[in-house]
Amino acid sequence: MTDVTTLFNEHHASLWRFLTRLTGDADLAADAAQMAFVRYVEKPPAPDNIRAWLFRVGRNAAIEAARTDSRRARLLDAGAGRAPQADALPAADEEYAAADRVRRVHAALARLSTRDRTVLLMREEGFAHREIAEAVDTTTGSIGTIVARALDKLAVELRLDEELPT
Amino acid sequence: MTAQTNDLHVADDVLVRMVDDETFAHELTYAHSHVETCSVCTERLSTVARRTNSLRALLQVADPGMPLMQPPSPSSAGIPLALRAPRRRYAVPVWLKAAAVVLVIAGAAVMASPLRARVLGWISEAFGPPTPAPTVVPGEPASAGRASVEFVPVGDVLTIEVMDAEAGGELRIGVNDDRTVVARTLNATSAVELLVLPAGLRIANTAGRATYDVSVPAQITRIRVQIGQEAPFELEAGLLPRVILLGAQPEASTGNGGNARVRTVAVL
Repeated sequence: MTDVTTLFNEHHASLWRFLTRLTGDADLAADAAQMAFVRYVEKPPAPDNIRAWLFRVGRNAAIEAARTDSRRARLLDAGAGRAPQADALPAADEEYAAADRVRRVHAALARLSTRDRTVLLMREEGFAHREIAEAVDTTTGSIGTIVARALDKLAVELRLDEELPT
Repeated sequence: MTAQTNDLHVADDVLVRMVDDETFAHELTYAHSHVETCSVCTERLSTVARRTNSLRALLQVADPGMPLMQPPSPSSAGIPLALRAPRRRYAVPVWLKAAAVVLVIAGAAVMASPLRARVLGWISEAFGPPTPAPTVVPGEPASAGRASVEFVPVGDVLTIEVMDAEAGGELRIGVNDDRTVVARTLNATSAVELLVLPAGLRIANTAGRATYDVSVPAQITRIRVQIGQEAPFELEAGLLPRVILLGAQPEASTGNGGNARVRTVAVL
C-alpha cells in the first residue's frame, strides 16, 4: 500500500483542480478530494491505477455532495424574500470582468452533461482515453467523439476559436 | 465541424486522437498521410488543437487558489478501532499454562524484593519513556526543517511575501513544467508556515537561515517579491531562475533590476 502522504503530494492538487472544474465549487471540491483520500486510508484499492481510483471516488463524492447542496438550495430558495437583503457593493471593472469570465466558464461547463464534462476535464488532467472510458463506462473509441462534440459546444459559448490574447 | 463520419476526410474523433497522441494502430498511417495532403483536414486538426489550448487557458484562468490541505491520518479516517475480526480459539498446552503461572509468581516476588529497583532501572534504560507522537498542524513542518505546499495560481502575477528578514538563507525562484506553484522550505531551524493567499504565497517565518525553493508554472509572467518591511520589487519570469538573498540588506548593486538582493543562478 502506497503511503497516503506520498499519494496526497502526488495527486491532491490535480484531483482538487478536476473536482473544482467539475462542480464549480472549490469548497465542495476540497471536501470531496479529502474524502477520496480518507476512503483510501480506510480501504485501499488494488495497487494498479490508484490515481484513476482516487478520481472516480472523488468524482462520485462531489456529484453526491452537489446533489445534496442543490436540494438544500431549493429549500432555501423557497424561503427567499422573507428577510431583507443588502445591496451588493459595485465591483471594480477589472474585478467584474475577471469574475464574469469565471462565471462564463463554469456556466458553459455546467451546460454539458456530467459525462461530457468529466471526459473533457479528465482529458485536461492527462488521463489516457482508455482510463477516461473506464471512468464514464463507455468505449475508448467514443472518447474522441465526446470530446469533439463538447468542444463544438464550448467553442460557441466561450469563443474558443478566437485568437488567444498575447 | 461535426462529428459525423465523412468517407473523404478524417473523422472528428480521429482528429481528437491525433491531437492527444492516442491514434489507434489501424488508423495511424491513413490519418497522418491524409492530413498531410488534405487542406480541409489540416485546418480541422488545427481547429481541434486550438480549441483544446484555448479551453486549457480559460480553465487555468478560472481556477481559484487551492486551499492548504493535509493528508488524512488513520485516526482521522474514523477507522473503528474496536472492530476486530473474530478470535480463533486454539487449545493452549498445559505446560504453557503452567509456565505462565510460574512467571507471574516470579514477577510478583521480584517486585516485592530489593531487586525491584534494579529491574525497574534496567527497563527504563532499555526502553525509555514513550516518545510522544508528533503533532502535525496545517502550516507547520511535518518533520524538522521542512514544509511544502502546492497550489494553482490565479492570473499571471505571483506575489511572494517573506514575513521577516532573516539572518541568512535564500529564496530561490525557478520555473516548472506543471500548472502549479510548488514551494518548499529547506533546512529550516525554526517553525515556518507556507500560506497560500489569493495573490500568491506568504512565507510566515521567524528569524533563521532557512532556504525557500519556489517553482512557478509558465502562466506566471511576473513575480512580486516583498521581504519584511522593505519595498516590494518585481522579477520578470523570463529572467528566471533567480536566487534572492535574505538577511541583512546587501550594499552593492548587482544590476539585476536594481535590487541588490537578486543574484543570477549559473545555468548547468
